Parts: sequence; C-alpha cells; structure tokens
Amino acid sequence: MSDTNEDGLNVNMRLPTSLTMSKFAVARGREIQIMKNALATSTCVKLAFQKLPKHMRRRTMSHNVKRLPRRLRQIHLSQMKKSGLPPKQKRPSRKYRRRPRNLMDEYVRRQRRINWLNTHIWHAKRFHMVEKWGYKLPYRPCDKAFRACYRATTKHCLIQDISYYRCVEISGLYEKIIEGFKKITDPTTGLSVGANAYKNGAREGRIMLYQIDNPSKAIGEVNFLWRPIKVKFLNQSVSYLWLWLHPSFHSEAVRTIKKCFGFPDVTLDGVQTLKSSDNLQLRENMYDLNRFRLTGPLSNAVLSHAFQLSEKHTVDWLKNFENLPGEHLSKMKPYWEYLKSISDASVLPPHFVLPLIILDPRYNFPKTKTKALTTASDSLMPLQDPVITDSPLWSFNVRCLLPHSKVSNAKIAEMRQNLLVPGSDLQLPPEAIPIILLQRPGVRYSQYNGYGSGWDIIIPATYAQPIWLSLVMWGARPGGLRETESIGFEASQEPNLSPDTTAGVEEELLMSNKCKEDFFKLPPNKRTNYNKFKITSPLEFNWKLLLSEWQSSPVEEFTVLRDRNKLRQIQEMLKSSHKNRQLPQLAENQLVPVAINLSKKGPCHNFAIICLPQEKDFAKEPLEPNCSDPNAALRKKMRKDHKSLLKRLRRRRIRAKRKNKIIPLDKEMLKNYTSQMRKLWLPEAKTVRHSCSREVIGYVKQGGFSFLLSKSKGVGYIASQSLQKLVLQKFKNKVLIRNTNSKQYKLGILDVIID
Amino acid sequence: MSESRPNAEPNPSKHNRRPSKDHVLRKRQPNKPERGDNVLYISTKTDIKAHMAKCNKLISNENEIIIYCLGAAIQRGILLALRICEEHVTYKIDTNTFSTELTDDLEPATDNADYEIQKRFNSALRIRVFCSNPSEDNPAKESNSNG
Repeated sequence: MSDTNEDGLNVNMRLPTSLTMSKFAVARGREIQIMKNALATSTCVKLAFQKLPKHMRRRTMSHNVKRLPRRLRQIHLSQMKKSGLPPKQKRPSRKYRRRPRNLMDEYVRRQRRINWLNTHIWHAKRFHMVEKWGYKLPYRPCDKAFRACYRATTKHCLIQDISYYRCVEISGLYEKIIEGFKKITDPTTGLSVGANAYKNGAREGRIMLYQIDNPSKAIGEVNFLWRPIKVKFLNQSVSYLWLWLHPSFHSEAVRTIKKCFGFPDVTLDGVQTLKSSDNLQLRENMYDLNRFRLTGPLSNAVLSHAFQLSEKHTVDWLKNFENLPGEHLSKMKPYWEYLKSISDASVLPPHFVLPLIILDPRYNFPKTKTKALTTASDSLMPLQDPVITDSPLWSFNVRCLLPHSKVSNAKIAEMRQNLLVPGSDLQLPPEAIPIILLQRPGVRYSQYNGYGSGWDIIIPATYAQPIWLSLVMWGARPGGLRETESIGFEASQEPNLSPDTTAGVEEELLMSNKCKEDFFKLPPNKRTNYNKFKITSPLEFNWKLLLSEWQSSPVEEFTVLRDRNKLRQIQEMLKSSHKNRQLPQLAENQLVPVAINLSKKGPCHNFAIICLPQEKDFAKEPLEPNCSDPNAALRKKMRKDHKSLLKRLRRRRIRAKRKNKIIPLDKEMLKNYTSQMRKLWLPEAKTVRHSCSREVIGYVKQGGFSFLLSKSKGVGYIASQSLQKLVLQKFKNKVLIRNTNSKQYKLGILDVIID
Repeated sequence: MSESRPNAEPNPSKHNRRPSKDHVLRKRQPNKPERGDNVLYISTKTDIKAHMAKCNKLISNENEIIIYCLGAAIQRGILLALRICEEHVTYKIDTNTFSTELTDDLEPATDNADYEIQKRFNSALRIRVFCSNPSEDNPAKESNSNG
C-alpha cells in the first residue's frame, strides 16, 4: 500500500473498527449546524437591498424602507443603524401634529427647559424671541417697528407683557414684615416698605433690596404693594405684601428673603407656602398672576374701551371672597366713569392703585382692530380721590377658583356661531374678572413731563390671553424687551440692572462678550483698531480699574450711589454757579449714575468714555492726537510666523501620509495662537483714567439717539471721586464724551439721575 | 435732567414751591379738554414756525383749527392765531378765556409723610380759527378780524 491514494487522503490513517453511533451523530449534527449557519449568513459585504435580484431593486430603496420586501426590512434597518446613519423617521403629518392634544403635548415638552409667558404663542408668531433669565421673551416685533413703537409711547399706546416679573407674596403680622425689611433695605435710598404713603395699599412703591450678610451689596429693585385691608385670622390681623421680582435676580432675592424672615430653605413652587417661626408665610404667585404694561397717552382710552365694569355679584368665586365690601362695585363705578373722561394717565395721582372687577373682554371684542380714542368731554369732572378697596385678586381661594370658572375659547366661538345674526353681540352674561390697575406717572422732572406714563395691570393668569388680545384689538401696539430698554433710555432712567448687582454684572458680561464676538467675526482689516484711538477697554466696562485709579487703593467691591439727598445735592452743586457750596461726603468706591445730553449733533454709542474738559475745549471741541498701535508690528510678525509654521506642518503631514502615518493637528497650539492674537487686538487695560489726552471719569452704559430730544444722549456712571475735580474746574456740569471709534471729543451736559 | 419750567407755570411767589423737607414737589400734566387732529396745544418749547407749518397743512383739510394755550404760552398761541389770519385772509378767530386747574403732587421724602396735592389755577385760552366765507354773510359769529 502506498502512503496516499489518488484522492490525497492519508491511507496510513487508521480508521476505528467500530463507531459509537450517538457520538458520531452529535458530531455530524454540529457540522451540519455550522454549515447551515454559514449558508444563512453571507460573508459578502453587501447591504440587504443589494442582495435582491436586479429586477426587484428600486432606486429609492436605500432611503425608503417600505420599498423593500418585508422580510428584508428588519435587516436593512439594523444595517443602517450600524453604519451610523439611522434611517430618517418620517415626520408625522401636519394634520396629526396640529391635533389639539398633540399640539398641547408638544408645547408642554418645549416648556420643560425654559419658561413661557402665557401669551407666548401669540408673541412667537409675531416677534423675535430671545432666551433671557430662564424665559423665552419677545425682544422686538418682526415688522421694522422701532419708530412706530416709539411713536406709540408718545402719541398712542404701547403694550408689553411683563409677566416675567415674578410675584412673591409675604403675609403675616405687619410689624414683623416691616422689621424684616429693615435688615435688607437702606433707608437713604428713598421711602421704605413701611412708609405711610404705601401702608394703606393705595400706592405702589419701589425699593432696592440688599443682601443680608453684606448690606452694601445690592440685589435689585423691586416693586411692592400692600393689601389694603388686614385679614383676621386666628385672632391675628394678617397683612399681605406683594413683591414683583425681576427674574434675573429672583433666586438671589428669594434666598435673601428666606434668610431674613427665617423661612425654611425649600424651593418655592408656586403652590406651597413656606411658614416661618414668626407665623409669616411666603408664597410664589408665579402661575396665578400676570402683569401687562401700557405706556402712552392713549393707554387710558384703550383700557376704558376694552374693559367694562361688572355690576353683579353672582359669580362663584365672589362668594368665596368673604372680604369684599358690598359697596365695592358701586364705589368703583363713578371713578371708572371719571377715568373715561380724562385725557391721559399722567393727570392722575402718581402710582395709585385701582382694583376693579371687569367683565370678560371676549364678549365685547371690536369687530375689527379699532383705535381707541379719548372721548371728548366738554365738562370736565372735578378731580376725585381714588377709593381704596380690597381686590378679590389678593385672595388665594379666588385665584384658585378663577381658572375653573373660565369659559373656554371654543365655547365662545360656538356661541358666536349659533348667533342668529352673525356678528351681533353675545347674549350670555360674561364672567367677571378681578384685576388691579396701577398708575405709572412716567418722567416727572423735565420738560418731557409725563413721558412714559401709563398703566400696569395685574390680571389672573388664566385670562392673560383674552385680555391681551382685547387690548391689542383696541389699538394698543405690542412691544418687547427692546421697547423696555428704549423707554428707559428716553426717560433717562438708570439701567434696570445696576453694575454693582450680581445680575447687572452678568448682564454686562453678556453684552461685552457679544460685542467681542462680533468684533472678532470681522476680518482684520474691517476691525476698529481701538489702540489707535487710545481706548483701553473698548468693549467692556472696567468699573473696578476706573474707581481704583480715582482713589488711592485698589477697589474690590463698589456700589452705586443711591442716597437721594446726596444725589440731589450733587445735581444742585453741578448746576449752580455759587462757589461756596460743598460736595456731600461720598464713599471712595462709588459710581454716580448720570445722563449726558450732547450739546451738538453727532452720535453717542455704548462704551463711550466720559472725560473731563479743559479750558480750551469750549472754544473748539478737541481731537485726540494721532497715535500708532504698538501691537501692529507684533501682530504682523506673529501672523507671518504662524502662517509659515502652518505651511511647515502641512508639508510634514503630507510626508507622513505617504509613509502611511498620520500626525494629528495640534489644536492646543492653534487655540493659543488665537487667544494671543486676540490679546494683541484688545490688550488688557492697565489704565483707564489717564488712557488719553483728557482724563476719563466714566463710561456711557447705554448711548444712542434720543427721539425725544432729537439728539444723541447717553446714560452711564462716573466715579464719585472725579466729581471733586469736576467741581473744582468750574465748568459746571459740562463734560466731554468720546466714542470708542472716534478721535473727536464732544461736549455734553451731565445730569445726575435721581429717580 | 434739568428741572426746567414746564410749558405753563403760575407766579411762583403765590405758591409754595419748596414745601418742606418732607416733600418733593412734582408737577402733573394739565388735563387736555379736547383731543383731535385739528386741536393744537401750544407749549413754550415747540418752535412757532413748526406750528405754523402744521397749521398750513391742517387748513387744507379742516374747517377750523382749535388752539389751546396756557400760562406763559398764551402769548405764543395768540401770535400763532394772528399769523394764520395774516396768511389766510378768509380766516377769522374766536377766543375764549378760561382758567384751568393745575395739580402739583407733594411726594413724600420721608416715611412719615404722605402724598399730598396742591392746587392752583392758571389762565388759559381757547382760540378757534375758522374759515369765514365773505360771500355768505354770517353776522352771528363774534370774531376779531385782524387780517
């Protein structure tokens, strides 16, 4: 026998003489299994649809799974998932998405991350929306309406939804509340919470809150309102106080209040009340109350057209409101009639509060958008004192019941549909809604007396949408955050968030970061070279450096001067020509809020510097002398070096690629280069005060063209110590202003902002 | 902002302009008895030329223009009315004098004080400038023709 036969099998191998059947069968069984598996899963690198015979293939198979035979769909899906391209799920049809339930689900989902106003949907269709302070807020109308909005504030009526101000309610013994607030407010800034003028609930007040641990550190200004009556509860008369907190410092203020009054440190959720050891209660009314702001001379007319007083008591929630005096409605009637006759809200007592019970405004919508006008009245009624009464809106029970008694929009639409004469008035008695009107006097000290006057209305949140619609239908022009800014600017008010508060610092940082980002988005030859203009901190407010240069020691913390008497003294001092007047004693690290009106034409922008003038500047407005940029050569060299380095690296990478090696990019190096280059463009300021030929005393925080003055103006802050020098110079209140992108100084008149 | 005089002000000697340390005096806007496209309120701030231009525009549409002026602005109001009559010969004027009540707020400066008001009166003038067609004899109207 040879070693191998013709089949190539080893013939020398000995075969066993006998086999164990079971073992043999198991082994063969395994082999068959493997073979079967091998047949089922092909090793070829094809996608599922590519395995189909050609006549069964369709072009759209790769992206439309339904074109595949059903047995292959699952395989196809899993293959697509593996390759990292998840098959696109088809978007549900618009019809499906628009079904009320699905729509509401979607809205709820979108509100999880960020808060919405009750009028969000209305605004989102017509406004540019921005995310701010945890809210999605309307910034400006989509139509180019800057001027129209300004005109509305001076001649017509502008309406804004300011429900982002959150209402916090403190209730308890009056004396205890007053005592607590003494710890977190400063008596020199104006009237306190317990002032006689406010305690009967007839006027709304405004006060600055300070931190409890650090009484010089401000938090922010809040509006407050006392409930006109005290409620008897367990042999105690309980007073109620509402605070309207701006969302940017809401959490800080609430934390301070909790600490001050000894509330447990639990988050407020809008439903629960916190109780302190002193029997005080704290509640957040964020979901119950909304606030709209009407500005302009016609706001009175808009209100009197949109609202009708309720005359009956037959409403569910009114029965639950035990404190309503019977004559409430009859008392309100004559005053409401009087309101209709007056021309303007600025004629009324400042900041006064008027609770009303109105009818659902959906029942007297105008047929088309109508401009409400003041009705001419030949015989003017004599000025009446407003009646001070309680509003049902103060009662928690009433606020809870209101949403249940509201008739749905659908129901009203159905009733309209069933009217015999289409377009005629609805017959059913409308629901009554409690609201509170708050007068705002606007500017009160200049020739523009009455600018920005109007009404604030506090309404139950459920009725926000219909009331908003009704006011807009009666001719109020809606505005957003931009209008709030511009009204404050025109009225020369101090910016809402001061630079010595945490919220203000954040706001400033946001603004300066945005400006820097925009600056570096420009190509280098389009960027303003601030070094050539001798502006050391062009896109930020360097308050700390400014203040430390105006005093001996470096400044860690600074404050804004809010002492009314001192501010008034400074203003009088600057305006008067008497030489023997004394400046009040001012702390070294203080900023003084000022408004500057330019004497001549020309713009005034944000970040402009305020400087001290010299004698010769009054004859001719000075120019900053030419100056070269010391960093220009450095930048050029750096850029050249960097470019050649990049080239070298590129060549190295290509060489390595040929040898099948990959050198990763050195991202760290690139980042380094960018940041160094940016530092050369905007070097860190070493000096502000002596940065240019005139001494810098402050910055313009908000500058622009004022339509009211028909001239440019700026609102900003100056260092308190610079006032001494300004007074010594005897140029009264004249200062110089220079924009960051100009060498031209401009003369302006400085006025201290007192209110 | 300068504490400049608003468009109308009474004789300061008669009224308490600096009440006390407890209060700050703030003037309220006077009420406007009429509103309309053809109703003008004259202030001491607006240039008379601008008012004149506005009146010239109004004359082409409106039958009459009503001019209100108060206090220090009365003189300017009269001047404007006379200018209109000078430029448009057919126009005549009809004047009414009256006194209007002005309100000042005494805002509290201390916690113990409350809001108070101070009332004063000021003379005001209502001038109706209207077109008198010479062909239609209308003696009922009492008018001062100055044209």
